[in-house]
Amino acid sequence: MTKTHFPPGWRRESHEYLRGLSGAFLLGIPLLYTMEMWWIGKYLTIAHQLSLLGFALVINYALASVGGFRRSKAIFGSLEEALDATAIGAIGATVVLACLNRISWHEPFGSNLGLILLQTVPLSIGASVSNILFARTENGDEDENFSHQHQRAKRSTVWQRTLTDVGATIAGAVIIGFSIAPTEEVPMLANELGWLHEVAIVAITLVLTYAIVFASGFDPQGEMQDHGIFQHPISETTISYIIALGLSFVMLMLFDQISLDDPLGSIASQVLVLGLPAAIGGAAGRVAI
Amino acid sequence: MSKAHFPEKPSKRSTAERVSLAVSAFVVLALVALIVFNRYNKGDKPASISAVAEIEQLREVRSQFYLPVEVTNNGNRTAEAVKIAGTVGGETRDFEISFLDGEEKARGTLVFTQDPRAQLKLEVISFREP
Repeated sequence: MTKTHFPPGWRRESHEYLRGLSGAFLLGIPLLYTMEMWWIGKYLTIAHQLSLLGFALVINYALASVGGFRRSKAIFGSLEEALDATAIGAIGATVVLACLNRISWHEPFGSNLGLILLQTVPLSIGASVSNILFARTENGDEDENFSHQHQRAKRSTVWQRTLTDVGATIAGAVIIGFSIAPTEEVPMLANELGWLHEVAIVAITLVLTYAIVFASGFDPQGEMQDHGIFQHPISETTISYIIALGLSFVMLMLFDQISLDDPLGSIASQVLVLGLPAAIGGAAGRVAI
Repeated sequence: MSKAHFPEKPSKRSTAERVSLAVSAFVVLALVALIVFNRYNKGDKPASISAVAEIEQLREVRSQFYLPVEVTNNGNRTAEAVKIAGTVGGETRDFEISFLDGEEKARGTLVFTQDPRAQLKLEVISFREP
């Protein structure tokens, strides 16, 4: 990970938020691709909307007490973390729903708001369980898990590490992607995307997968830079994304969602749409090894 | 992994923590404000659907007439499974819109074998209240 020139307090804070955001998408991505969630979001009453927000705060408060995404608690820490997690969920939902063209200026305001609130719940829960989803590490030396992985990394060759990362990417991408590939949501989303949405999906996928592996502090090996071509943060993120896109294509073919006779634009849109959860799964796989 | 494995943060909050907490609190309060604003701004009128044929965008392809129709929910409540039908000289075509939120517009297309400009009859058939 590239060390920034921010003061330590800001760097720590940005890492903690990125960790929360990473957990949010690891857990919440399947529900972002669920059409019932889009529909229910359209007709929520004010009571439902306020209840959802209240539920998110309460459940995040409870989860922050046992997990959370921060490394330690201050006074009222769980309460603050519940607020943070809910905000992360809301912002994350807004950005990804906009990229997927589920919310826009052309839609009624209430419909957009309902959709964001509904998706805020699973995403914020994901943020709140970030520390449970993955073992956390900071500066490694005192952490048993880090030491173990560091030793293992030192023993293995560049090619072994590269193969391990490729395998982990494939496993994670298939685990997440296989559950979404056969659903109607993929062609539905793809059909309603403009070129700007497609560019945004590529950008958000790269940013999220980079954040999960290299900026969130989930991956102790994310701090190490001298592992060959695949291990450089930018090249690893890019190559892993290409692998996820290739797997998305294969999964869509297997489930007969696309065929080689389909227009190229239609195939590309569907591959990009499935590529987002598959790439997130791949990043999770690399962190988990 | 339990939080006890990690070094304790200094009890005094840093500027970064204060700023991030303020931003998070602002986002959550803004959501509450937007929910309340939307409730009083939106109203609570039942769904009422209108359908307008966009004759100027009619196109003919291989002896078939593609007629776009704009469907609007003029109420505030959501309508589900909105069915629209068009009839031209005994030929009836229809389409359905899954969800139409209050004040939302959606488009569908009816395909006829006859030119609909002569005697089109457009109807809203039904919808459900979710």
